[in-house]
Amino acid sequence: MTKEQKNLIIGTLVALAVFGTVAFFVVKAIINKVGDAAPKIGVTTTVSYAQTPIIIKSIRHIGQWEFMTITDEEVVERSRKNLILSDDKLVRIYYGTLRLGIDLEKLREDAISTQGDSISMVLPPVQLLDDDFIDEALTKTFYESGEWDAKIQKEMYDEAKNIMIRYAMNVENQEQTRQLAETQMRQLLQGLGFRHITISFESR
Amino acid sequence: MRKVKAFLLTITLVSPLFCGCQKQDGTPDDDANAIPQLVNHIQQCSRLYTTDYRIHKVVMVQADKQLETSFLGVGFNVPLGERRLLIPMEATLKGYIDFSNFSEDDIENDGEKLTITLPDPEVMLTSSRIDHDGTKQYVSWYLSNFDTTEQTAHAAKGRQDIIDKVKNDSQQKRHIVEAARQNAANLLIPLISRMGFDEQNITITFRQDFSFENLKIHID
Repeated sequence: MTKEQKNLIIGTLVALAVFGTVAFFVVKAIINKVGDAAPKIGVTTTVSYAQTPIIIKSIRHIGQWEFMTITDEEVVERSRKNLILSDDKLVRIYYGTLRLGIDLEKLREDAISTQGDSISMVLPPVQLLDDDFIDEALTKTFYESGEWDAKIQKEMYDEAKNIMIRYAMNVENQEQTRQLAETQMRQLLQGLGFRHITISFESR
Repeated sequence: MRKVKAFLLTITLVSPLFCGCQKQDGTPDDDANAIPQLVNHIQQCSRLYTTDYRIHKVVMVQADKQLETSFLGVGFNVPLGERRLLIPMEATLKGYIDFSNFSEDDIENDGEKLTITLPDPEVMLTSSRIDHDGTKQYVSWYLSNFDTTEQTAHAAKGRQDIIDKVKNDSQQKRHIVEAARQNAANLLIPLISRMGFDEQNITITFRQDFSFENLKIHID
């Protein structure tokens, strides 16, 4: 390559670089100047809710005495492999309130015996008062990629429920609930005039 | 793609925390960098639940997409497609008597007649459940389906509708108050009579100046 050819190539490259830089700033200035006047375009979503009735499906008489409330939040994850794209993942946070206490409707016929100002009472075992304790409408999705069907969502709900039950129904909480139940019942019985009170619990 | 990579990196960094931490009462988890703080707490209480209401609602959502544009200062909306969602859901409300502040002063026993004055009834939303099998969506083929975030957000609206209905419907409130009172009496009178009191001499009363309009509705 001759010296003249080399100079020609270098000169062309420098000219292109200068032209490119000037063109960049000119285009940027034009965009900034006319940007506000340019037609705007965007996709929007209009959400509306139809008025639907609220139906009382059932009314049940119950006798559940709650002594301990455990508020719990649990994270449940699911992921699945994709051959080409990145893996799908769903991370959700469930909120639940578990209520521990005794079901008075399970009080046995021979659970109470009295003699003068003495009373002996055998209370039903401490239990989780209701299996439906998750407020699912408050569930938060922390991360979601891919589509997830009803089956997976039900599985995740059940998993969250089991984690919460394991957390709440430990020996310590059950014992504390028994103590609270005994204290409350003793107070009620004293108010009714009993002076010698014996309270015990049915074994499960 | 960058978002996904960032997420995976975060998950990788915090995963040892997931394995190593143990929950303790009243303390949030250590993985605050990744997942919003998780709260677990235990509270003592004394509530006698006397009535359980299962309430059903179908949330019907229309979330149509449209293209919004303008030309020469005039705006246009061009429909892009339909997105419809049906979510059947159920909520549980419970009527109860709060015994937390109940004391011996609320029991009058003159040796023959027994009068118990119970605290005012209250009501609490204790759970909500989405019927995932019954959830249906009708979406134009070129638009994306409702993801779980959208579905739950719409279910939350249904939950709020149920709460508002109970709060604002006088007839509903009257029914809840009367049922909670009646059921409390039906539960306690036989229980106390088994302790040797004559059922005829037991009276369960409530605060005289309580109006069903004052019914407290608690939401966890």
